[in-house]
Amino acid sequence: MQDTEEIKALFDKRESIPLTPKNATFTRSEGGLISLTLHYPDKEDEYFERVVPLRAFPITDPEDYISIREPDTIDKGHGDEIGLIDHMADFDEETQKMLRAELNRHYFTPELTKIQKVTEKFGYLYFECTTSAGPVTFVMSNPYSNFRSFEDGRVFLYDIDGNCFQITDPAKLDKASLRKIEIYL
Amino acid sequence: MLPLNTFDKHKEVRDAFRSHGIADTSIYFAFQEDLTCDGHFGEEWLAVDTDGKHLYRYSVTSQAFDIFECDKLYEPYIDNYTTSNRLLALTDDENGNRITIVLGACTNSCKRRLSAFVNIWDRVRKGMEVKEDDPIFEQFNAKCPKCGTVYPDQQRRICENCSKKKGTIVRMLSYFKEFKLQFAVVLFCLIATSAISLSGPIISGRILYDRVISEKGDLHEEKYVYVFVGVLLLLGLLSVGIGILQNRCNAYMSTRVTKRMRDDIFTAMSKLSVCYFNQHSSGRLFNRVNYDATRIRSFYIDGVPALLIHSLNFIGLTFFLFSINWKLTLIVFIPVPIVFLLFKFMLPKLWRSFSKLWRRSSSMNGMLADTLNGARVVKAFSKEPEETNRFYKYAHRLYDANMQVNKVAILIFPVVALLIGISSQAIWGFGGIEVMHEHMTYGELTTYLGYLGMIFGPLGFFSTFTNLLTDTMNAATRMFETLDQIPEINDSQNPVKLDSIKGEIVFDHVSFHYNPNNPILKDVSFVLHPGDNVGVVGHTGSGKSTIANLITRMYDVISGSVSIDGVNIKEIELASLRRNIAIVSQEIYLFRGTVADNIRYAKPDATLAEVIAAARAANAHDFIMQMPEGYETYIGAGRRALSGGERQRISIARALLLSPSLLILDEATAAMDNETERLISEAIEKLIQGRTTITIAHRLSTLRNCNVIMAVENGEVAEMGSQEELMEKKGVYYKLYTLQNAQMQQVMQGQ
Repeated sequence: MQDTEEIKALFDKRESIPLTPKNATFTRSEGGLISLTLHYPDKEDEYFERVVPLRAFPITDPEDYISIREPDTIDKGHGDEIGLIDHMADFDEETQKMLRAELNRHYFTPELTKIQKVTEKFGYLYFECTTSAGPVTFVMSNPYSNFRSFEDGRVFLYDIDGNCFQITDPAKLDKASLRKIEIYL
Repeated sequence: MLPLNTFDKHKEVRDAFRSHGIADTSIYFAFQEDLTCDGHFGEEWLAVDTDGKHLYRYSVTSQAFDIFECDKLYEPYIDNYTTSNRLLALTDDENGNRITIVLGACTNSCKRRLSAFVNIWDRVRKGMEVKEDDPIFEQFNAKCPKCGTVYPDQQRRICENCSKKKGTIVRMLSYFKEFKLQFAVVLFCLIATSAISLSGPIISGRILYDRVISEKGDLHEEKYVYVFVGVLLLLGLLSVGIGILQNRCNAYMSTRVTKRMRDDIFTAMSKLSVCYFNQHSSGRLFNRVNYDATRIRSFYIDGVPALLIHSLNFIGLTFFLFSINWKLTLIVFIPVPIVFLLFKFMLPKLWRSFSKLWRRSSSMNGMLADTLNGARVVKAFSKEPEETNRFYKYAHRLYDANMQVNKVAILIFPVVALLIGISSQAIWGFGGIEVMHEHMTYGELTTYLGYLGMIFGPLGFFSTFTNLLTDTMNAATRMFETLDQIPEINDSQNPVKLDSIKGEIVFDHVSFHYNPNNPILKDVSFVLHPGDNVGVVGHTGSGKSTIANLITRMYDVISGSVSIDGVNIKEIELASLRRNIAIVSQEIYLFRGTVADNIRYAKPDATLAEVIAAARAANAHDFIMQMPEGYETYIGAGRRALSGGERQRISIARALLLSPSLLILDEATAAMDNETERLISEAIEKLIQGRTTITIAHRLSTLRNCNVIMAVENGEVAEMGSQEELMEKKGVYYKLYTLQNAQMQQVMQGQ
């Protein structure tokens, strides 16, 4: 029979802790990503060169419950959760901005600001649009299931590759753009 | 340059590389991204040179050109996000600390290429050579087997070249080819119907009234009244007869055409590979078989004849109306454009309301199915009131949609009726004056009014015809898309037929993913010898089942090769490959039918004695005998509820009956108690002595008879060897063993 210490060591998994400005400092890494230093009252600081933030509720509550994780790697597979931020607003402006930028890249959902052209060909819609991330063209199949409306009025559009675009408030689009997609809303 | 992305159509990129002193010939492979590193849409290129020493990054958007030394980049890794992907790597900063840097980014549109790029780069870094005919490029350069052109869209394997030659409409017509006679009859019926309906008003107005009833008429005798009323009656009967004939022809054609289309779709679908069924929801596939064929059929059976008859009528009507009195006709045609526009703009609104209605009713159905299927859970948490309220909500939404449809419908049809009413009143007025001035006869006026009532029918039809046409074209395109889909897994040109296999399995640098985001196997190599009893262990999602799927060629490898008895499985005839391998997978599916039918599914000609022997070996005989009708008990979808262990045993019996050269058990005994499991593994041991068996399991006790253990972790074979060797090695297997043993000990010590 192995002694229990050794067995424990074999299956040790990091335990997630609540992250607050008191115990966690986020900094910009040299490679332009996010680094994290954890402060412990009873032991030395722990440094992570890169951490990955994820949203628990990416659609309805993008500002709260942010999971901070170790990056996935080829060797170790999926990274463990280091901790959970209950409210991003607890952190200072700079940190919030940094986390939000990284999160927005993760949930890359450009805002459609103008729709130049929508053509339909045999059930496929071909879009030509301007977005918050620049001009783009994309193809959508089956528009009735790929336009997803939310109760707060937001609309998500999914293309055939699995990319996602959003319209925060369709009523605020210019008339010409709105007319092109009206019937799918 | 390898055929991933090339500079061929990108002169400006080629020039940019040249201006930095890099010729195309010194580029090994390149990749075009659609996002810039700062997360905007743009164009960037990553390229690796022929000696694999440098990685170049050129941004077309910002003109920036970066050069990285490959030696100083470690562990390139794709971070897959929800809708975008980023290529990261580790490198050293000036102080020698490891830092992560971003090499590139792209949206989901090019993630397959990104993953291929990393796969190739990885192999090049390991000193391997990647050639132009590497299997990894097949996914980007799949060709139409008929004409050999590369598909423009690799996700939808449809050859525009081949499908265009035969336009969709013509192709749909080909289903009616064998019904030339019926078609001719229908055409004749249509013309006759049109002629009869057009002649009605002439006989009743111009002849019956003007020449018979009217005092001035040349046939003003009582007998002619009978004659012409008789003629009208006869025409009525004739048109009923023609109608019956036409409908009979239609019914004859439509049932056969629909059946043929359904047969074709189902045959085409069943040839497709597993991944097709993973990508498409079964609901949508049901719809294709059911709805699309019906849609197309009704277009040809109802739509096309209606178009013909309405066109004929319309031309005839306009001609007669103008020939009787062109002045009146001009008045008549005043409301025509209004009615047409009304139809044109209001009907789509009605259609949209209908489609909303349809969606709401299907979401209510979904909700109903959900709640009723989950009735046990609903009751367990006493959520009946909430579920009832939820139902009310859905029902109310349906009610709203229904109201909307009715509101639109209430608006359109009375307005149209009113317009038609007004125009006929106007005709009575103006026509009456014309008759009084003797510019036309009373009979002509009634004929005229008869025609007038008929002209709005074609108008209504024409305004909706485009919608009908698009809808049908969509259905047809979807249908032909399925028919034209090339199965991803196909027999090669001259497949090798294997009568039996010895069971030597070689994985040579195999990489595989279902989804480029998530590599399942990474460069896996191993050899299994004939007669080996192999146990595969590893965490959930580590790639164990994938190995089984690749051996049976449910999927093709992304790179590398799998061979059986020294033959690459891509060269082995699929049917003969699968005939020799039996797999009992995690997902057990029992078809509707008897127990015996299910057991001999793979070998329908098996004798009853063989069925019983197989059931005995799978330790299923006893519980089958307990069932009311023994082996003839009905099981499968919604019939008799079998426990998880019983279902597994039936599926094991199904595999054993085949007496395969290679048996794969993928978690096949997970739902059984240890005792049953032991009995089965002993029976299997006896049955397939000397043949290769692969057992995938979580519970190590399942693997006690295995002579080789393979531990898979994170898509790689972490270790392989006999149980003793692996215990000594203190690796993955040792960890699992210690854990399960420790748990056992704790139970025994009562902790």
